[in-house]
Amino acid sequence: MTERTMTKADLVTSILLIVFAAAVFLISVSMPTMAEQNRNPLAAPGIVPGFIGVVLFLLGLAMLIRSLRRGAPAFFAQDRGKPAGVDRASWGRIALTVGLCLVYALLLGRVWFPLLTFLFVFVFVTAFEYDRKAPIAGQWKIPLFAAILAACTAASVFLVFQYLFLVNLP
Amino acid sequence: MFEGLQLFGQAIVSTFTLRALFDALWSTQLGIIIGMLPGLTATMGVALLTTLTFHMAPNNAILILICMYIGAIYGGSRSAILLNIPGTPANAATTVDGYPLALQGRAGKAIGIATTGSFLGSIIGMLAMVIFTPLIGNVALSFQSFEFVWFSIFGIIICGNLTAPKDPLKGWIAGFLGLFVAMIGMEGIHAYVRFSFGSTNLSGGISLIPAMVGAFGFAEIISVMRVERYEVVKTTIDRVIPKLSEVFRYWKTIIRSGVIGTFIGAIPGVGEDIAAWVSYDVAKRGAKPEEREKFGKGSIEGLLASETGNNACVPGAIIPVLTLAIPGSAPAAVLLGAMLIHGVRPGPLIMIEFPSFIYEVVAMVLLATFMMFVLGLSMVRPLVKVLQVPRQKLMPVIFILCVVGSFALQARLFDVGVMMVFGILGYVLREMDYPMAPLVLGIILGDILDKNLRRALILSDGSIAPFFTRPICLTLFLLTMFIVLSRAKWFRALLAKIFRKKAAV
Repeated sequence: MTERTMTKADLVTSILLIVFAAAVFLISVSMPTMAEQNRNPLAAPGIVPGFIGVVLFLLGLAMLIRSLRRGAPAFFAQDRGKPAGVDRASWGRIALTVGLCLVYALLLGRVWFPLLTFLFVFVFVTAFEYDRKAPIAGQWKIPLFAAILAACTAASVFLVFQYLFLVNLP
Repeated sequence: MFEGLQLFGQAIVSTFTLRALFDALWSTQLGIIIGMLPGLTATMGVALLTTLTFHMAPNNAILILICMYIGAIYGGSRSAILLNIPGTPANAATTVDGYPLALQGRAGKAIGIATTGSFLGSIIGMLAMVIFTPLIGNVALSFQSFEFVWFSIFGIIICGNLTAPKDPLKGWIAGFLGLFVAMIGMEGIHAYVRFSFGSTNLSGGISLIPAMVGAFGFAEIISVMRVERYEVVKTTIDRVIPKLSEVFRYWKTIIRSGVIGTFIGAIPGVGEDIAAWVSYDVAKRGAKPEEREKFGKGSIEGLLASETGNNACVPGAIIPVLTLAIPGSAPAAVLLGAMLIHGVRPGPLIMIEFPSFIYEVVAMVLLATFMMFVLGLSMVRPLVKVLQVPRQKLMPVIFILCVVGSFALQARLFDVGVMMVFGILGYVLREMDYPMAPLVLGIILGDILDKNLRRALILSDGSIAPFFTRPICLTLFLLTMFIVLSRAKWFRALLAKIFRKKAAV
């Protein structure tokens, strides 16, 4: 990340942090003091989270002031309409990784574990090894090896956890 | 003193069994492999193994985790030397001199030197552990809630300061976010449920291990998959076993790096990576002029300094785990979590409740260190093949282990969700230069801060004076203030003014 994008990111995160910290503080203040149960109000559950909220608020404020001093709003104004200078290839890889992993985590418990694991590893390996520029015919080995790896992973993880570590997999 | 030696002797006898040797063998080797593979860190290795060993007897499981920890921190030097990519963040300083040595065709020698350095560093750290753990433990017995409040705040501040040297503000934010995460769920004094918004899952709190597997495992997978593939250097591996004279020429560097590494390890949350850099830096400054020229171009001394420093940090990081229940580094945080899972309660009372446990841990460190030394000098060539496994084949399998590992501890799908959230959040935060170590430290210290601050307020009947009048409290308060203020420009200017005046007088 360049210094310029970092300053812009800091402005946004500091505002989010301030809002978050304020919410934490307000929720903490509204927690019961337990005094009505004859407990010592000095041990109220809201004290420590309230303190953390205050500190986070101050830290967020410090970052807000710093990013304003470094000229974050001006950067935003200047960069408006310009294409964001992101590296599309690496964003694609991030999106693919996170996407596949999310789908796996969401389907966990709904699809039989070994089958889901097999499909995940197979799709992951194939998707990352497939070369769009090369002819498809020459790439038949990729899914084959991916399938072997996927089958081995699914079987070994399932067997080891189910029977050796006695974990009931989802 | 002699009682300690006797306990240590007993611990060695009880630890060095056949079963233990076997466990140490495979777990150290696995640790070396995990450390070697870029993207698999010591923290992740220890966290994943915690989930796999929680059915075992406590001592076996903790031995395996310590072996994994020591093995992985050492193993990272392999990829640092051969690929110019640190296998774990701890080995970043190793690349500076290790990789040039590999390019000069001296990869074998570099590996041998790194192994010896790691071995000696670990031994120095272990000696410090034997001497200081009981001492600190006895002092810690007199600590009250007031001290623990300051320890948790001081821990967050110094950890944030040192793990984000460019921008400590972000380190502190990460640390306090971690403290907040610890507030979620049922609290320990009145069993009041905080920040759960009616969710039964959240009211159970966020468990440390899934959060760490996410922040150090899944986040790492995303950043590994982001970059283009890396190439292995084609290098011949020459003689691995180093000549003794080559190593002992630098005995001063070794002792200095060992002491620095151990000390940095003992600072809360500040881990092997910082230890390696500081010891490298000090070695460079202290080197003879003709040797200093070689730093960065394949200096044996530089390589020794960084590898001795990072491995000495491991036993150093375990000292506060045992005596204060405050982890010295991120992998040590998992180790602390694992000890709690296994029913060992580290902290000031350990000297009374489990006095022999300290020495057992030292014996485990000793065993792991010897295992690392032997394995590190053997089977070097076949292991290089591991580095050739393409990451797109490795990462999905690691992800499956992250998922199953998070699930296995409590058989809750919610923990898998926690892992995913911390992974994605951790990746985003890391991209914006927020360090992860203070976040994790915060999750552990949150509970300590919560209970002790409230207890302290009851003890003092609402007065905050004891927080500033007790000697240790005052020291910690002044140190904390100094760390925070030394980042402010006006404070530095003020200090400069005062010192100039004194110099003028």
